[in-house]
Amino acid sequence: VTEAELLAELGQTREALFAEFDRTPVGHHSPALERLLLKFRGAPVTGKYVLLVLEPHRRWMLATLTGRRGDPVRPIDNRVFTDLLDAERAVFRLRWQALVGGPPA
Amino acid sequence: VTLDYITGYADQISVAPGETIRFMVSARGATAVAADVVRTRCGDRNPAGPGFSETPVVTGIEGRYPVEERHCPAGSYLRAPDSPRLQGLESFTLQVVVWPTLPGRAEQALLGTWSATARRGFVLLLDAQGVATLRLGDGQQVVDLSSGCPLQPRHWYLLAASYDAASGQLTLRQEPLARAADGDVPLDVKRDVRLGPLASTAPFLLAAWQVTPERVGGHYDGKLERPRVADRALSCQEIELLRGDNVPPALAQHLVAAWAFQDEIATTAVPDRSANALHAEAINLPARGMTDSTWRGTDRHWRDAPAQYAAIHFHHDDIYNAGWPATVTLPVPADLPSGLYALRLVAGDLEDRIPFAVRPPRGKATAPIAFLASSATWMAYGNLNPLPFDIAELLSGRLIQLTPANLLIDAHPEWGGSLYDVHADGSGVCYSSRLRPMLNMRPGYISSFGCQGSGLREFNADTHVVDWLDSTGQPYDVVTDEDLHAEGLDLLQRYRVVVTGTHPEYFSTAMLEAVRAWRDEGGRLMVLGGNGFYWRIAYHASLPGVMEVRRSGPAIRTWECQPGEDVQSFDGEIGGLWRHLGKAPQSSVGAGFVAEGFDVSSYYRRSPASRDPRAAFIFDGLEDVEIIGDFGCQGGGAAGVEIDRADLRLGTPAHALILGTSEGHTESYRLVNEEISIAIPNVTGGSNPRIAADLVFFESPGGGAVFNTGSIAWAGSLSHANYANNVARITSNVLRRFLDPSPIVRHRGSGK
Repeated sequence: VTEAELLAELGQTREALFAEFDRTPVGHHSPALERLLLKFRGAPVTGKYVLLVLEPHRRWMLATLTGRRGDPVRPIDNRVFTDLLDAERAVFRLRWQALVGGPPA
Repeated sequence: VTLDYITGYADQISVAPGETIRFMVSARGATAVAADVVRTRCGDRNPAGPGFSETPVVTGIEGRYPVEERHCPAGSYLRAPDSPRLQGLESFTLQVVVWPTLPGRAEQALLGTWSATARRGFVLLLDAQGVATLRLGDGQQVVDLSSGCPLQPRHWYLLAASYDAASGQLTLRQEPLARAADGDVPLDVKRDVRLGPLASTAPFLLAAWQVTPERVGGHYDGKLERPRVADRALSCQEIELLRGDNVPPALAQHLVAAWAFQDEIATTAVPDRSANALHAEAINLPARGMTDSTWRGTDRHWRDAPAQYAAIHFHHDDIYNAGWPATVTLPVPADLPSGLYALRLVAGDLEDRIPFAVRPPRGKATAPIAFLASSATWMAYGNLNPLPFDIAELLSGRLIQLTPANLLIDAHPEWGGSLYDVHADGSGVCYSSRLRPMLNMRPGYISSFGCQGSGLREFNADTHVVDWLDSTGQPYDVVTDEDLHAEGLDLLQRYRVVVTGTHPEYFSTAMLEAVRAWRDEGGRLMVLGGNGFYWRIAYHASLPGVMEVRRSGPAIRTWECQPGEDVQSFDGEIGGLWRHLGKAPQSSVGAGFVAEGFDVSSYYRRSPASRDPRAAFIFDGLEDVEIIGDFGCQGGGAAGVEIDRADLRLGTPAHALILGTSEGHTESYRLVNEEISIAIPNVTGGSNPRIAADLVFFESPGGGAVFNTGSIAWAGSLSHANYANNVARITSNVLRRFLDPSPIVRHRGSGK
């Protein structure tokens, strides 16, 4: 989809969606943001973003799933987070970019 | 990818002082481990939580132990007793009805004496393309006769193969029992060969073959039905006659074995109805009580129509007992207090903790409180992994976190799955054993299906309850579901108060009946969890440490029984939700499962009923409080993860007080399937008012009572503000009154 089509479907501006998600990555969301998150979180397992726990409750590395048992993840070495909500925000941007094919990432 | 690890399992989940418990350890990347025993206080590593806490205990086993990597021999099969009648066969017929589920995965043995290393004996198999094949070997030469046509998955076929040693003729028949697929026609192939003697020293196995005397391989995925062995090459007509359960007398003298899978379903025995009585043994718990090719849909119980249940479903990833040698043997000191303990294993950066409960001495209580450790729940979820699980993030409403344990579980399918997993062939895992590593049953384990914050479930979430009990200073015993199943009411009668863990989900009939009887004769039950008293399970009568569930009927379930397979093989009881078996959780403990969500939790708002004088003791010191539990390390609230509601129609006692109800759950909270008889659009927290947890209290007839939080997250709020908060206060108030032996009586005229 194009960004314009997506925003029309959601009935919301990009700025409003990003502002809301940045405020509350996990928890209550508006219907428009919830609909978008269902698209993101319901994506097929192959290529899906996950976090590898480097230090429990302290450091996480971004990775993608392969969907294959025995070789399940592809770490993205330079994406390490020290805050889980920052990880959510970063993945939200990556997924936005992948869905509409453009910035912001 | 090979990951270093230390892991293991114990031979018992609950051990009494003075008894011995053994720990079986496997390690990769370490040749020795430092071992000691710790008392587990809290397994939560969340810096905002009560803090990871364990206390070393001197038991005399402290020390370094050599370790090596151990093989886990997954894969179910049958083993016939050693007999020249089977292993000495030269001419023979093998026949069996098959329903393969993963034809083409690899070579899969159906039945025979084949030794894969000696290359001697005979076996009927599916080749790597899923084609029925008869293989013979004399130790020098190996010959195959193949039907040439792969079997369709989940279709029934009769396979029959014969060898006449005198003429050297091999035959193979592959007959589809239903012609569903294009080209599914009976195939008959023949071949003449010249071979030396086949006599094998390998055992006659079904669904596997021998690799070495210590190992089997060639595991089969799918059902087998009515296997027969004859001592000569039979005609087509004779093969047809042998398909039934009654063998014509003229053929009986040539019948070497005819295993009756419908007999002795609740055991590991697989009787042979031939005159030779070559009874086989089922290893690694293949699924029994399975419908066979003749099932008509007229009966649902193998006891009522045994001849329609003459099938066993084998899986190459079934596991009962890893069978490793003991690394550490712990004689439990006679004076060791009852509690939750673990064997701690450390080698450099690698570590593991193998949990176990020390119960009080048998026949005794050492405290008025019992913590009922939900060992059945722990086993049910054993090795549940959020990958590859395509709906995991949809369920949790936040990014999935993978710990080293998750990667190890992924890398070791041979350690077996949880009762939420499906086998590689897509059929449900209905048996779970604790005689294998279970990497999520560990202090410190973080789950993506807890809530934001600590992210705890099952075993590790239950350490929040243990941590709180320790904070009260009240002495308590720890007993497990297995103890309750074995000892029933006798066990409970030793206690004034029983406190559950956060998720007391799985109950055998013996367990549930004991709890209900004890409740009604004055017992005081504190359910500090959610999704309680939900599924019926069975324990095995003779195999220790293994339980069964049949995922049947509407319920939150990750797989479903095949039609006609909802009866538990271990005990012949109908499987499924207690709700569908006439004892909904509401009728046991006042509230039952209504919704789950794994992002954030919420709070309870007190109800007018909470002002009833009957509940005054519960809110002692909290008279002005309206909002309960708007804090906590499991999603920031006391109501969350999995939540339960009262429902008069499902058996909540009419006099029960709904002390409070949670509100404001997120869209991640979804109504459970059994609450939805017709598909409705408003199934999530934002739109469905049913989605809430009820805080329930009721008195029982014998001066006892039940207090139920209806929420897994409750225990995550207990430690907030150093245990000085309204959740801890309510819980402590209830505990104090429940410990008071004076009857808890509802006076007529009080309350509603």
